[in-house]
Amino acid sequence: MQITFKFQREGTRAKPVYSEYEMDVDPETSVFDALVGVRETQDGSLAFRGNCSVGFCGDCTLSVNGAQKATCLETVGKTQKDGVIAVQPIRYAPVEKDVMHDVRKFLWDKVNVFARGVVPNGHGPVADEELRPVRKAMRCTTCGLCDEGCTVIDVNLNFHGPAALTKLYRFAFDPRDGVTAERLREGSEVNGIWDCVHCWEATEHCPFGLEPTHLIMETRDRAVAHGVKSGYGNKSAQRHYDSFEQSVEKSGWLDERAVALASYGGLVRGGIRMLPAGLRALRKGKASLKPHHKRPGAREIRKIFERYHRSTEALRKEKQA
Amino acid sequence: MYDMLVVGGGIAGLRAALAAKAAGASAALLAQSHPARSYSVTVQDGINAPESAEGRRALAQETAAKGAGISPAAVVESVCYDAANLVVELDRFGAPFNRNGSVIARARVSPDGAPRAAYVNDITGLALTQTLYEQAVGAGIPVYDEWIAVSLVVNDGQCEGVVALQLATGLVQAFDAKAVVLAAGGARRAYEPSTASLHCSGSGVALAYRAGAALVDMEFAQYCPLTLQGRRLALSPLLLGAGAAMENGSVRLNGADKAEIESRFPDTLHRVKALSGVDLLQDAAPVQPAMHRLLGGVDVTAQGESSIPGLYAAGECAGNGFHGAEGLDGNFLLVSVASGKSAGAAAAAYGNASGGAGGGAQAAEEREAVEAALSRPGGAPVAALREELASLMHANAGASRSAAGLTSALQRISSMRAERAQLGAGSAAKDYNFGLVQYMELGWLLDAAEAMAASALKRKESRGVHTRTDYPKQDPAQASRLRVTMSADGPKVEKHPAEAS
Repeated sequence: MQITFKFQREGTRAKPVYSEYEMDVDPETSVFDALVGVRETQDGSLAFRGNCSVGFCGDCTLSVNGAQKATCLETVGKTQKDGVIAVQPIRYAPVEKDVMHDVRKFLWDKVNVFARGVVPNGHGPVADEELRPVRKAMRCTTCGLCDEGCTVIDVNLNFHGPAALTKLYRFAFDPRDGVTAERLREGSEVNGIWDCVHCWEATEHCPFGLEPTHLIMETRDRAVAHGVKSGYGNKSAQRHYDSFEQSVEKSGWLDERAVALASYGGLVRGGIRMLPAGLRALRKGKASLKPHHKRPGAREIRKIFERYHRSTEALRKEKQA
Repeated sequence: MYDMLVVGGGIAGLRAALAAKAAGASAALLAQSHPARSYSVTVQDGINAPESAEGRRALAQETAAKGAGISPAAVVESVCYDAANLVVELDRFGAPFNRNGSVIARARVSPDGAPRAAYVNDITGLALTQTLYEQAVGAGIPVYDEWIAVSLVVNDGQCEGVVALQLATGLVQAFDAKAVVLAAGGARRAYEPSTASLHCSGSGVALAYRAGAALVDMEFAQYCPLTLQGRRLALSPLLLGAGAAMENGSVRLNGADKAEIESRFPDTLHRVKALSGVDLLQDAAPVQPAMHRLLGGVDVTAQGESSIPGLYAAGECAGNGFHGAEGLDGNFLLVSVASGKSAGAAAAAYGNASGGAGGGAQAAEEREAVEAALSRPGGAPVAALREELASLMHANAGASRSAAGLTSALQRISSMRAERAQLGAGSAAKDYNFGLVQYMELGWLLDAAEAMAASALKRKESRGVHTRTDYPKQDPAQASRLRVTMSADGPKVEKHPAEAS
């Protein structure tokens, strides 16, 4: 079938300026192979990555007709719309050239923060079940589609992102590793596991069903189990989690105003910081001036917290002894 | 200046760099794609590593038998006898090998074979590449990814580094090193159909061949019968061991335990569905034979030393003779790991103290050659030559060969070389000029193809995967290996003893 391949080579994502190439291509051809065909026969200066063409190397991630894909696993026939395949760069990293993005700085450098190999801990034989999480994480091709979906990277390019945090998970759950606690402390610093807003977009975006958002949540549990407190090394995250906890403990549910103020450093600093947003929210009816009240059943919730405090205290004493 | 530089970021290259680092050498790695994007990640095969000494002896015997009498006994034995250790070492590096209870499990790679292949579900290649990459990050090995080696620096008969081109900028510079390990993979793009990644361009063998090193066993090109129809995915022989069967050009699960298939082969099921639209749990997936492995390569010893001092080779581009005339399933990852480790250690120990002129002058020459290529037309005519080469090799130097076909292929390869010399990058772009890459790759593929066809013409018998229609029988008098070197009069092919047991 005759296809018009449009490559964004200039302009912005919203207002792309395309170069167009016509090619006759079998609809069963993969999108990646077709793009390589265009580059090989029509314009060798066209920049995009890709290598294995069978869905393992994770290098051919692009936006095609508005959807972000591992392009080698998609066919031309199913992807084209009215004979057009429009190719745009993905969003999670700045563009280097054409539709090629800076994977070095915005994917590999982030992954490498957590990629330092296993340091053997002298653990004896390991059962098969114990390695299942490691095998699951190793199915990751580092295609970056989870980072592409990430709503935190959208506002903070420095957030390590779900792809790199999947690498952390791989080590956090490896029973043979001797520096797990250290890794979890590193992962708990700014831009790490506690900066994830669990929007589940990473899980939605993973083409292999690895559920990266779940992996981050499990890594947090692991961090807590290793004695790394929520928001370690990240004051504002720590304040946010602490005030969240206090609010639920006190009233049974979330006092959004109090948590927002506390996260930004208390009444004065938080008040100044939150004032414009607060006023806008009031105007739109998204916030109210009514005092926060306890929810029904707040007493039972408080009891849960008391039990929790007692058990952690017991645990602490046990450890000391 | 590094003590040793590895060219190629797959399993063999990473293993070589780690071995050199462990030996106290300063090691760096240069690769066309990021190591975690190399072809190695697609390998779903297991890695033969029998638990018992008896099992390892049996593996060595089967490897030699499959190799049809030309595998050097010393290589076969050292690799097979060390196999279980190599796997334990990978596990200690962090590879999550499947276990039976707490013992590393072994699976069959054929319906009737011994269960002796260690595996990480159906992602052994991906898991081993990641594991070795993680260790390389931990060891602080510098990685120059998206750098393409364009020539070896050989001064006074010593290899002293490489000249490489940075894809992002077009920068050409020398990397001085006391020793170089080539681990740049095979030459599958010289064939269609094939299981090639885009970068399986024969650069490893071609760079050595041009520098005057001997290649060996180049006539043995092994096809994979389990390649997904019309795609480049080689299905794992582990599937056959788990009860799948090939019949009438399709792979179907038949009596296989579907629950086991689902738990051990999730990525195979996913890729087959995406690439062929077939749910393998329900239906048969159509497959075809496609060129998969070049069994020969740079002529090296068991330690990976080539005929040029300071130059080593490992992985698919290395011809240590382990596979002989035909490779055994489960042995490909094994020899990548083994050859990488031994070449890396040997290169580190080499320590060429002579110093030498370095690659500065040669880099200047290569820079000029690149400049000239940037101004010549390219693109479609280069692609057309590559496509023609791939069908030419499949037809004449593929699963069956003849003197007539090979002779005509050699003539055409020679004229294609002349045609290529008039071509170039097709655009003057310095940054990410894939037209330039395509032009360079065609050159490597033509060199590799020439060595393959010339060797195949010289072997006037059928042996292993080398099938001559005009000499259909194996000839005991030809149980030797063919070494090929580049000369002004074309490829020079000579016999040398196989040293098989």
